[in-house]
Order: sequence, then structure tokens, then C-alpha cells
Amino acid sequence: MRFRNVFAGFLVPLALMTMTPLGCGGTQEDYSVISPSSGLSSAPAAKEWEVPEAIVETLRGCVKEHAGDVKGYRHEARFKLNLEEDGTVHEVTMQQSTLHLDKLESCLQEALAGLSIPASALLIRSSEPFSGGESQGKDRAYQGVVQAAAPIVVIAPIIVIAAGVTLGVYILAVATEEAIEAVKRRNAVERMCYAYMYRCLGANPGNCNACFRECKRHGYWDEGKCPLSKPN
Amino acid sequence: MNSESGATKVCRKCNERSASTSYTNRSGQHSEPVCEPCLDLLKLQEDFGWGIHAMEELDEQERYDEMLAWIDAFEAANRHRDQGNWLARNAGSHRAFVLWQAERYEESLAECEKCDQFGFEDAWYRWAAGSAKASALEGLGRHDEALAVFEAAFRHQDARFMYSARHLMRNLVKFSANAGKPVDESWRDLAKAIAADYEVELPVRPTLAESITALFELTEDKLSSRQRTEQAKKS
Repeated sequence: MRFRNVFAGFLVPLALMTMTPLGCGGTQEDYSVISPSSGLSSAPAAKEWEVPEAIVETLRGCVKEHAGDVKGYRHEARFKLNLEEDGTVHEVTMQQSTLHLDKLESCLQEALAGLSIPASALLIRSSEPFSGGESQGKDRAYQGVVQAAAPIVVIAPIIVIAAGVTLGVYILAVATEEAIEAVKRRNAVERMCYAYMYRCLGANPGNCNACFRECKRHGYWDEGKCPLSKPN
Repeated sequence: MNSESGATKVCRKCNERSASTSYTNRSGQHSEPVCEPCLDLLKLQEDFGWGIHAMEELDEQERYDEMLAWIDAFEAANRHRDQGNWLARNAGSHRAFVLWQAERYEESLAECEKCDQFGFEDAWYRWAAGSAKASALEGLGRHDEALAVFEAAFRHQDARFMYSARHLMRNLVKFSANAGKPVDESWRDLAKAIAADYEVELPVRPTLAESITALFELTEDKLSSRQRTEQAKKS
């Protein structure tokens, strides 16, 4: 499958993912990803979305339950989530963990399987390559400079402190092939509708807006209602 | 219908008042004789339409609050120019659409309901409004209601819009499937009428939903009777 092939090239560099140590005040900028195609750049981060408190609480419960078996007091675990088109988790895989405790790792994995990431939080709207590190600030999503080279997004780390153990849970979300295709379809529809809108406005503006809404919602321009050229 | 050949031209927009001026659209591609009130309305529609078009970048970047702010500001600044609630209807339905895009379904639904109070210009607008409301309900997971709302709107049939009905039948299939119901048999006559309009037979399939889907594919490259008439006129 094309998706697998694309990501076969992407998964290797994941091992190169660098993360600065985090305290409780960690932010999205604490991550960076080595992109296979363009060198160091900022990874796209989930937009204005945080892991729901219920999931965090479940993670905390996992730590509490197994804290007695954890050696040491400071750990981190990294997970990759494969997302379905609707943002629900298709698969959770653990990439790395310093816990070395199957029960706790499985518990965390199960908790993360319950996540659902809204499409709006995924910056998978562009096939543009990463830019080289410009626009690193909070406004980067607004400038449209740093966009996802691939449908991949990091989520702000979850720092769980329970029963004397501090655990950093790092999440990398990857959209499935179906999700990518859905977004591509949506983008294609949007471009098509705007193009029709322009032509409609050039003909007669009366109904264009209504047809435009319908076009974006349902994917077709109603020429019967909104002619794209004025009949003579 | 228009008496352009007579001494007094009739407004091409309202077909009622005499044309005292002319309207040329922004691209300069089109010009027509209109009356003063219709000229104001056409300019309002044009300003709003181009404003929506200019929001493409905001839309791409999902800056929905800014889009909503633009619509609100435009409406507030131009309310005095509105005629027959055109602006109120369009600003409202655009707000509903942007809210739907932003996945703010409750608010989208509320806007749709406000828009309904302004009435509908014709059956097509009623279908569009029903579709919008159904989409908001779907977003809220209220699939049965979504189907009911869409069906209620789509029952108002108008043969002028058979081309649109062909497309909307697919929405009917979608809303029915999402509600876990087969497409109601009462829609078979419309499916047949659409098939006739495109000069084909309604494909026979195990379910009506499948027949409608097959009909859509079958008529993909065909013209509706209205389109055929228009084409004949042009040629």
C-alpha cells in the first residue's frame, strides 16, 4: 500500500526524533523532528487541542496502579498512534520506554487507544515540504509557512506525576492512508468550489454564495442554479 | 418575458420595474439593464460574494473566528442595503456553514434555525437549508433527526431543479445510511422522474439506495432536460 511505502521512509527517521527534557511546563516547541527530506525543522503540532483530562486521568491511574513495581522515579514512554479518518485511534504502538514494565506500558497503551483527535487539530492540509525552521513561534499555523510534509503530528507531552513517579508520555499521531485521502479529497473539493465561485461571480453574483456553500458541503457546483457564464 | 424590444426596458433582475440604469459586474464580463433598487441589491450581492471569495485563505487556515467576524461586520455595515432579507439569509447561512466547518454544530444548528425564519426563495434554497441543518444534526450524532429534516425539505419538489435533485438524492442515500435506515420507498417516484429527465431507466438493484447510486453513475455524463433545452437554445 502506498501509505506504508511512504511511511517506511518516515519511520526510520522517527528514531532520530529529538526531544528536549521536559518539566511540567513543557510546550509544543519542545519537540523537534528530523525530516528525511529537509533536515531539521519544527514538527507540526496539534493545533489548539489537548489530550482530554479523562485520558490523562486514566494514564495517571495506570502509573498509580503500577508505581510499586517501577524502578526509579523519572521515566518516559513514546507512543505512535495511527489515526482513522474520523480521528479515532486505529492502532497504538509503543516506540520506546524507560519503564521496562509490560503491565504499565500496556495500561498506557490502552488508555491512549481511547483518544480521538479532531481533524482540525491535524495539520495535514498541505503537501508542501517543510520550510527550514522559519516561523517557529505560536503564529506559525497562521502564516502557512510550516506545514506538515506528511500527515504526522506531535501532541504536547503529558507529564504524569503519581505515587512518586514522574512519567513523560510522548505521542506522535499519524493519519492512516484513508485519512490522508479524505483530506486530499476535501482539499480538491475546496479548490474546485472556489474556482467555480470565481467564475460564478464573474457571471452574475446572485446565487453564487448559496451554490458555493452547497459545493463545499456536497462536492458539486450546481450549474443549473448558478450558471458559470451568463447566457446571452 | 422581458420587453427589451419595447420602448421601455424592463429590469432584468426583477422583471417588474422599468430599467432606469444598468449593472455591470466587477469583472466587466456582464452588463444588463436594471432598476435602481435592483442595482443596489446586485452590488450588495457582489460585495458579499467577493468578500466570501476573499476569505479563501482564512478558510484554508481554519481561521473560523475571523471568518465569522468578517460576516458579522459586513452584515452590520450593510444591513441598511438589504432587500427582502437577502443579506440576513445569506449572512446567516454562511455563519451556519463556517460554524459547521469549525465543528461547532450546536451553534451551526441554531444559525440554520434562525435562517429558516426568513423563508426560502424557492425549493432549491429550501433543500440547501435542509441539507445544512441535517449536516449540523449529523455532526451532533443526531442521525435520525438529520434524515427527517432533510427529507422534509426535499419533499418540496420542483421540476426546475431536477439537476440538483439528482445530486441531492445521493445525500438522501447518505443520511439514510447514517441513520441506519433504507431509503424510504416513497422516494422511488422521484428517482424514476430523475431517470426520465435524463432519458434513462432507473437501474434495478436489490435496494432503492443502490438504484439511486447506480442512477447517479449512469447519468454522470448526461444532460438533464433543462440542460438539453439550454444547449439547444445556445446552438
